[in-house]
Amino acid sequence: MNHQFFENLLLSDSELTQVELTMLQEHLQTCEACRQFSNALEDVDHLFHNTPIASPAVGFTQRWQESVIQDNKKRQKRQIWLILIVGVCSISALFALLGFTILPVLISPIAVLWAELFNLVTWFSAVEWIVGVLLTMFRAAHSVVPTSLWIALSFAFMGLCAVWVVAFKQVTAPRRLVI
Amino acid sequence: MQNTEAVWLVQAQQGDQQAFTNIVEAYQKPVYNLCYRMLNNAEDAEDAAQETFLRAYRSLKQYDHNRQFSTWLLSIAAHYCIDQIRKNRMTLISLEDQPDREIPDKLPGPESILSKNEVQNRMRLLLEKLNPTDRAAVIMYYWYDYSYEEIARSLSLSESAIKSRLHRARKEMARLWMSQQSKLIPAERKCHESPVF
Ligand SMILES: [Zn+2]
Repeated sequence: MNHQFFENLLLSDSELTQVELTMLQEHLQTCEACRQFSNALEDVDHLFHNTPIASPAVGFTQRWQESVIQDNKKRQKRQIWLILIVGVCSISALFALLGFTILPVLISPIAVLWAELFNLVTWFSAVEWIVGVLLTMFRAAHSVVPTSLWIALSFAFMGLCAVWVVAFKQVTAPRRLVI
Repeated sequence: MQNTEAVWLVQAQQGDQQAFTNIVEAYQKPVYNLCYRMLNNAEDAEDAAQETFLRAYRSLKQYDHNRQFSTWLLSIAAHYCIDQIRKNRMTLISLEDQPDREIPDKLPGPESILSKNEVQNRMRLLLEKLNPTDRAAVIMYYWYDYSYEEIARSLSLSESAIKSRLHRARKEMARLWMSQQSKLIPAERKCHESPVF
């Protein structure tokens, strides 16, 4: 049988069967290599089991408390830096945006002024046009519809408004539940 | 102890630093030992142990009370040390290039008993030959008497992976021990030989 099999038996952590144990003992009596391996394994196990736990130098806990204080300071510094960097970046971005908006005015202020004036004039003319159209429509309606009908229509419109107000109050008024 | 520890942990989780200081006092040795055996250097071990407690303190809110605290703490230490070894691997000089760290050729003593320092040196050489994860598994297996399950949980590996890693590591160490022995024996013979022959 090969050495590998017996080495595995020697390294095994589970308990060996009687057959395995006998085979191993017989092999160890005849095989020098496996015997040396077995002894080496025993020596290593013995060495590790008998080496005491290493202890730190006296004052470990005090040094830990100091390191916590140092770490807290470091963290605070890091936070301050982070806030500073974020603040500086935000302000820079704000200035950049502002610059982008103001830049055309700074480059050619008269052109921008003219453009704004043109916009204003366009708005005024649009409003004037709408008012003109409405007045023309009113004049045309006035000449076609007789005055008595106008009065009747006005009263009807007022009545409808009154109905709407009453209905709205009824709907929105808080209700009382009778138990 | 378990009850006291549970109380400390609850207090520490609520922000009581003194309670965590008690935990540091109680666990300093096992954490330092793991770091020392992993890094083979007292100064690095001290730094690693301090960092382990600091990391544990900062992430204590994530600690699950159903888990054993020592396993959780040693898991932090092991992972930190493994990272450190990997980080420093490029800068470390390989053992083969360090003649001063080889096994001394001289006879250990009149009764062929190795001195304490020499034994420590041999053990250090055995551990240094292992890869960082295997080293951590071996340390937990021998010094902490951890079960395969506990080692697996500490190193975030499966139980079968730990079994095969330990099997391989112990085999490797036994072979290395044999080669160390074979280096010692010729030296021993040389010393015992009569100058006449
Ligand atoms: Zn054999």
